[in-house]
Amino acid sequence: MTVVVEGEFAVRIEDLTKRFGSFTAVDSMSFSVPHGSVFGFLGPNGAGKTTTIGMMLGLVPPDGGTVEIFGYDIRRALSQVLTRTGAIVEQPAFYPYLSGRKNLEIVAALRGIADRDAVDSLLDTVGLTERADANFGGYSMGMKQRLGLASVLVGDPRLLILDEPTSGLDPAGQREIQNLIQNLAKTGRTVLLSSHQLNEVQEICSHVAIIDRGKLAVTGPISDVIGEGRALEIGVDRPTEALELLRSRLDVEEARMDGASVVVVSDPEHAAAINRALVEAGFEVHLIRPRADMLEARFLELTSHAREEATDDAV
Amino acid sequence: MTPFSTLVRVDRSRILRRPMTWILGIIVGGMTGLIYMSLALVLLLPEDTEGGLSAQESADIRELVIFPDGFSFGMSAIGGFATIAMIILAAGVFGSEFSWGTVRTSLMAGVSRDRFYASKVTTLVAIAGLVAIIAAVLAFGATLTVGLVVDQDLYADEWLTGGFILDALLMIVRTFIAMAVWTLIAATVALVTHSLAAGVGVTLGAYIGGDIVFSLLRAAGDIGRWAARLFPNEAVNALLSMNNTDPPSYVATDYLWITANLLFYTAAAIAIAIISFRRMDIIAASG
Repeated sequence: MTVVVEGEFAVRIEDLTKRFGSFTAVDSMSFSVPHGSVFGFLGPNGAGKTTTIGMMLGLVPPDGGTVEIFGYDIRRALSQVLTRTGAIVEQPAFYPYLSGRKNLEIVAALRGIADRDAVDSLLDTVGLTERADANFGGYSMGMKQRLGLASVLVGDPRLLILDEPTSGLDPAGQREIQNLIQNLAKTGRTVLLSSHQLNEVQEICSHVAIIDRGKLAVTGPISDVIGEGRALEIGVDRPTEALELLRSRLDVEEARMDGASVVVVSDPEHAAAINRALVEAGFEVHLIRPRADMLEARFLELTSHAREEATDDAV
Repeated sequence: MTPFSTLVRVDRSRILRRPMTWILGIIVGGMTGLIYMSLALVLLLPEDTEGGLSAQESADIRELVIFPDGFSFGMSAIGGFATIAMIILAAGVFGSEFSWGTVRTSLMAGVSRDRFYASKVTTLVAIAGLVAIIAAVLAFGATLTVGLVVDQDLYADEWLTGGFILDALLMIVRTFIAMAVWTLIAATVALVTHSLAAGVGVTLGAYIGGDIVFSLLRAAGDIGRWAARLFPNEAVNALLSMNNTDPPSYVATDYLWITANLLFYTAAAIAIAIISFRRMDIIAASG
C-alpha cells in the first residue's frame, strides 16, 4: 500500500527528464504547484510543456526524475493520480461520430460514474446543453474546447491540467473559456494552465513557471516573478549607460533592458528619487510609468529563442 | 477501478455506433447476396443452350450451392469476406484511437494501458465470434433459399440431422478461430504503427498476398511446404480446409503444427501489442 503525505503541494516534480534520441526535450525539470493555486505553465513552442504534462499524466514515459501528484508517485500509483486529475492535452479528443453527450457519458463510464444527471449538469456548466445531442465532429472549435472542459470535470477532480485550452479560438471564445476557468479556480481546485496567452495567465494565475528548451527558467508566485505593481518602465537617452547606473542603486531590486527602455523593479515610492538620480547624472528622462505587461516582458527575457522569434516576426 | 465489464460495454457501444461497422456489414451482406443471386440465376437458365451452362457445369454448381455441400461453400465464401471485414474493423478500432487522439482521453480517464488493450481485443474477439455465427446463419439461409428457388425443395433431410448440426458447429468454431487470429494481427499492427491504414494494408497484404506466396512455396517440395507452415496463412488454411465436405485426412502431427502455429501467432500478436503499448509515447503517437 502506498503511504501518502500530501504536504503543501498538489504537484511536485523533481529532476524530470525526457530524451528523444540525442535531443533532451525536458532537462532535469523541478517545480511544485501549491494546493488551490492557478498555476501558469509557460514556454515557447517546443519548450517541453506538453511533454512535461504528458509525463505528469503517464502518457509519456520519463527517462528520469519523479512526479508526485497529491503525494502519489505516478510510476507506482498512476490510477490514484488520474482519479484525482482531469486533463486536456493538446486538443480535446472525442469520437467524431458520437454526440457530445454520448462522448461525455463514455468518459464518465470510464471513470466509473454512471450518473446521467452528472453529465447533464456538466453540459449545463459549460453551456453545451442545447447542442449536446449533435455529433462532436460537427462542433466548432469553441464547442470542442467546452466539451473538453466538461470532460475534465467528470468525477469532480481536485487537479485540472489544461494544455492550451484557448488555442484556435477567436477572442470571444477565448474570453468565454477564460471565464469558465476563472469560475473553476474559485471552487478551490488546483489548476495547472499551459498557455501562450500571457495576458490570460497574468490575469488568472497565482503562480507561474516559465520553461525554455526543456529547462526551468523561473517559478514562483506570479507577483514575485514579474515584480507586479513594482515594475517601472523608464524611457531615457543612452539606456545602456542608464542601466549601469540603476543597477548600482540600493533602491532598485532589479534592472534590465526591454527594447529601447529600461525596466526596473523597485518600490513605486522610489520613482521620484530614481528620476532625480538619472537627471542629475545627465540623462534625459522622457518616460517613467508602471508596467502592466510584465509577464510578457519577463517571458521574452527568459526564453531566448522566443525573443528571437518575436524579432523575426517583427522583421 | 472501473470494472472490466464496463470497459467492454463501452467498447462494444463505440464499435456498434461507428458507421464503419455497419458499412462493412452491408458490404459483406451485399457480396453474399450478389454471389447467391448470380448462382441461382445461372441454375435457373436452361442448360445446353448457346452461351449457357452445360449439363455437367450446371450439376457442379448445383452440388456446390445446394445442401449438403452448399453450407460449407457458404461458410467459406462468407467467412472469407467477413475475415476481411474483421481485419478492417480491428485496424479501425485501434488505428482511429490514435488519429482521433481518443486514446489520450481514455488513458487520462484512468484506464490502464493493459486494460485499454484487453477490453478492445476482448470486444473484437467476441464480435468475431458473433460474426462467425452470423456467417453460418447467412450461409444456411442462402443455401436454403437457393434450394427453394431452384428446386422448390427445402432439403430438410440433408440438414435436419445431428451430424449436420455438429459439422455446422465445428465450422463456426474453425471460422471463428481463423477470424480471431487475423483480427489480433490487424489489431497489433494498427496499435504498433498507430495507423488504421498500416493495420489494414499490412494485414490484408499478408492475408491475401501470403496465400499466393505460400502456394508457390509449397511447389518447392517438402522444404517449401514446411517453410510455408511457419506462417499463419498455412495454418489458417489447413484449419479451414477441415470445413470442406471432403476434408483432407490429417494425422496427429498435422493437428500439432496447426495448433502450435495458431497459438504462437496469437500469443505473439498479444505480447507485441502489450509490450509496445506499455512503452509508447502516447502524445507523439496520437494525432
